[in-house]
Amino acid sequence: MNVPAASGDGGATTLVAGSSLWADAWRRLRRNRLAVASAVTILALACACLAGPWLIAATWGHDEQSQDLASGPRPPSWEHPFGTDFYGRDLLVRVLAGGRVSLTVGLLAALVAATIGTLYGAVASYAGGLIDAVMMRAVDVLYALPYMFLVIILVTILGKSLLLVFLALGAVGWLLTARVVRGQVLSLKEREFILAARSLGTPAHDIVLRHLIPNVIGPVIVTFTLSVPSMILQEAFLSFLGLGIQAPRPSLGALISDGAGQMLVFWWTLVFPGGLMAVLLFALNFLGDGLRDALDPRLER
Amino acid sequence: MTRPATDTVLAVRDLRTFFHGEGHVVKAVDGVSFDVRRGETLAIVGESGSGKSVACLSALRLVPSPPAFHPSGEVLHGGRDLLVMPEREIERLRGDRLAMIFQDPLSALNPYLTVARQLTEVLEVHRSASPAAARREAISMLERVGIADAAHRIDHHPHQFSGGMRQRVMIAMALLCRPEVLFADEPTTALDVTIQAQILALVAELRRELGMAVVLVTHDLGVVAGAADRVAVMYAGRIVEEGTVEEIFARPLHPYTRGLLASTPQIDMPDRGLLAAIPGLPPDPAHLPVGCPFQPRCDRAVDRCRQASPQMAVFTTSHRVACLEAGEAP
Amino acid sequence: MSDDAPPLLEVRDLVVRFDVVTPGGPWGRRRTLTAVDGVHVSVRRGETLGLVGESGCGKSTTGRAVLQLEKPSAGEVIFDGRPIHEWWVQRWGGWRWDHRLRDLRRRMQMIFQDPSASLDPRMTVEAILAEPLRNFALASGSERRGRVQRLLEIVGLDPRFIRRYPHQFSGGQRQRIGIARALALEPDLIVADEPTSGLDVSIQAQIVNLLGRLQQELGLTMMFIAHDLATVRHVSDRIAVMHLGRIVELAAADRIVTAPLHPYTQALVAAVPVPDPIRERARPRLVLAGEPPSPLDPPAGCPFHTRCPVREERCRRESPPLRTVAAGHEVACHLVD
Repeated sequence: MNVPAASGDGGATTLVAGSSLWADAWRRLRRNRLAVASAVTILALACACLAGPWLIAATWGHDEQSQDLASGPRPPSWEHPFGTDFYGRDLLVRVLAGGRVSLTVGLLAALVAATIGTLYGAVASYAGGLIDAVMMRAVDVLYALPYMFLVIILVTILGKSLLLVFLALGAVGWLLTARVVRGQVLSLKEREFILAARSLGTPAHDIVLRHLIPNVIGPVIVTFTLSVPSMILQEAFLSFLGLGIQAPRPSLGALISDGAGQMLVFWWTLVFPGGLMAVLLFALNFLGDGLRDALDPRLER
Repeated sequence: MTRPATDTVLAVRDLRTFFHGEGHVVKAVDGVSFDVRRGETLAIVGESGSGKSVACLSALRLVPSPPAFHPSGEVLHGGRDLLVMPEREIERLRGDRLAMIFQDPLSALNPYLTVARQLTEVLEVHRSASPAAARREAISMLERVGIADAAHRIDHHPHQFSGGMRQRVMIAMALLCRPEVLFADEPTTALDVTIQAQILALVAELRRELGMAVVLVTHDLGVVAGAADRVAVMYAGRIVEEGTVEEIFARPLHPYTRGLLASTPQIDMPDRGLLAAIPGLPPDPAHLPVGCPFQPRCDRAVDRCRQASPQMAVFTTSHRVACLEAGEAP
Repeated sequence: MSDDAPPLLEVRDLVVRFDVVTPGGPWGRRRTLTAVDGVHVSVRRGETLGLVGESGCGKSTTGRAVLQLEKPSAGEVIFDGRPIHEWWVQRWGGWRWDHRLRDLRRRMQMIFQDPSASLDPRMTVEAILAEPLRNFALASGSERRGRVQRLLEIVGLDPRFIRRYPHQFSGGQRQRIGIARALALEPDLIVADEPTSGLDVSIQAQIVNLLGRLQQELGLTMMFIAHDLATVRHVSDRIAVMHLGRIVELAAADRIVTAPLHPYTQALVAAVPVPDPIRERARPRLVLAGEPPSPLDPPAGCPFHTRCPVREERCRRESPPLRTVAAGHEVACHLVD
């Protein structure tokens, strides 16, 4: 039998393993070389950030905080591959340790934001009517408050800790996702397959989880990957205000803002943390695009 | 190759339109030849994917190339081949000598411009008419296609017209320059039957009045029976049968034509229970079966049908068919 | 089937109105569109009722209101003796189903016009067909897969296709999936909303035959909604012709096409082209002038009088009721005795 749209092994009549959208998406993602390379890069960087500072401390004896004013700032050398900063601290250790903090904050905050935002937006617009109106007015009110002001209030009330920083960022960052998802669901719920699901007796929570969210996941993932770097930069801003990670503990954002101030003299203090940030950003974007495509079965070749 | 007869206004010869797919070539139109004679209605019938629309668009060079390319073919009009003439010259012919109307007038009309702007532009470009003369002409053409209060409605935008009225506007636009050939691609498919009847009656009337030829592309055999003089049946990018409307309906030779006729419900005949459906699916143009393209669905296919694709064979002077088993019809 | 048995479905004076915003003024103009305006019809067990009319006549809305996918604004829908139109509750600023309407899905189902819109593009065929079974905890695990595969066989698809997505099928195959989904819960009533109008002629015939076969084998009661009178006639026992939200004529399928009484039905039958040049050209021409009136702005009196070739003075004032003119033949026209 000839089927116009069937082609490639996705259209083969044999039963391929995996029955869900997620299993198929995983299979498709693995065939996207750029996305796989990006995932490997992110994973490798995460491992380096986790284990690196400890390894370097054990091998060379550098750690992220001890100062040696006599030996800084120096350009990259065999002993200090990334050079040292103004206080003579090894920059490699500081970049890795900062990367650990920033990656944790960025990924977790973005994840918190995306999850809350998606559920909130999907529920509000699917429920419609009064529920939608109340839920979205709440979003509008939060949106109207100065964003940083809100984070600062949260951090001041809850106290300073790494956990609270990403909770605060995530708790405020979901507003955009919620609006994006609501807009998408609003058009989606007029589609006939949602009416069809209702006519099959599918309960509302299943419609949201099984139909609406899988169909809005593409834009959510893109928003998510784009929000990771912005979360990292916001954490830097909080640190600058004395509300985030406190010096002398490093974070990627803090290192970049320090480095930016002295880049004409001590270029390496900007290039290395900036480079790590750039690599992370690219990898996250490619992975995000790959995920979005993998989750759309129509793009299968 | 047969030479076009003297009353032929458009002759299509061995037209092929291929598209580059991923790792293969899609043969959307694969060796199509037909003549359009002065004042006649030629219906090109086929199902979706049969290549009927692409064949017409290709004849007017409206298929973007690339991705399309034409490995062979001629489209002769007034002694010249449209496929090789310079872009500027074919632009001058389109909308003037050769006009086209589409299934969805809303996508063919510019939503941001008034009907007046779009109609007068045609006359100003092709006829170098003055704005005032063009407007007068446009209003009289709108009146001719049955738009009441045309002098007022000409200043409306396309969305302010109903579906049937928009189709009339598009017909008016196509006929402004009194074309020799009007290509109508599923002009009534999106319309209700009572409106379809109005539009078909209007096209038939204008055809007689202006003496133009109409190439009617449709999937609806009922529309063909009412409107066409000659019929070409397309399947998988080829014409499989061609003849006068009487020949095609009274003595269909190709099993596909017969199947199509049998599967069309007839409102004026007693209900006969099951419709005689053609089994299977139309072939994927990217993966055509070996031999005759209809062979996998054909109840009369024999071994030789699976080996080579049949050529068009002349049955009577006007009736041709591409089927090896056609002559032995019961 | 005896005619005195209580009908499976009774629709009484059904009205569905929508609030719409039309252009006009800085915030648009709020108006009420009466899509269905007093439809009164019943469907016997095992019968197929055809519902025909042109776009905007309210036939699809009628189908949806029967299934309670649209809340009726007025009137009654009695299914198997129970007033299902009452099974709505007002909650959180909107009307929602109560649990009985959800349970009713097992007995009434819908086939949609456009299978590429009504099948979730991100679900495999297995997930699509398993959804109704899961909703009512009818089967799980390998038993569920077995039932999904059997459904595919019933509608003539290869059961090995369960891993595919809708876009990997042709239009006709997708419609078979839509039919299989509607059959999954073994309903008594199926509302088929233009199930063949997006399909090619040769595929249309396949789907019409499939529906006919299933209706016979499974004893289904069906409401077949379409604009194509020739197809509707082919599958229906009786046909109701709708115009501007009302039924204007209701009779046995053959009577509607061979002896229509309402001038609108006559025009509709005459407008359906016949695939035979000799018969087609010999048929009487009855081309209606003008455009169908807008349901936003229905004319006074008989809703058809603006296009009616035989209208009289009273047609402009009085709206004719649907009345029985012969056994099993109802017409809404002043001029029919």
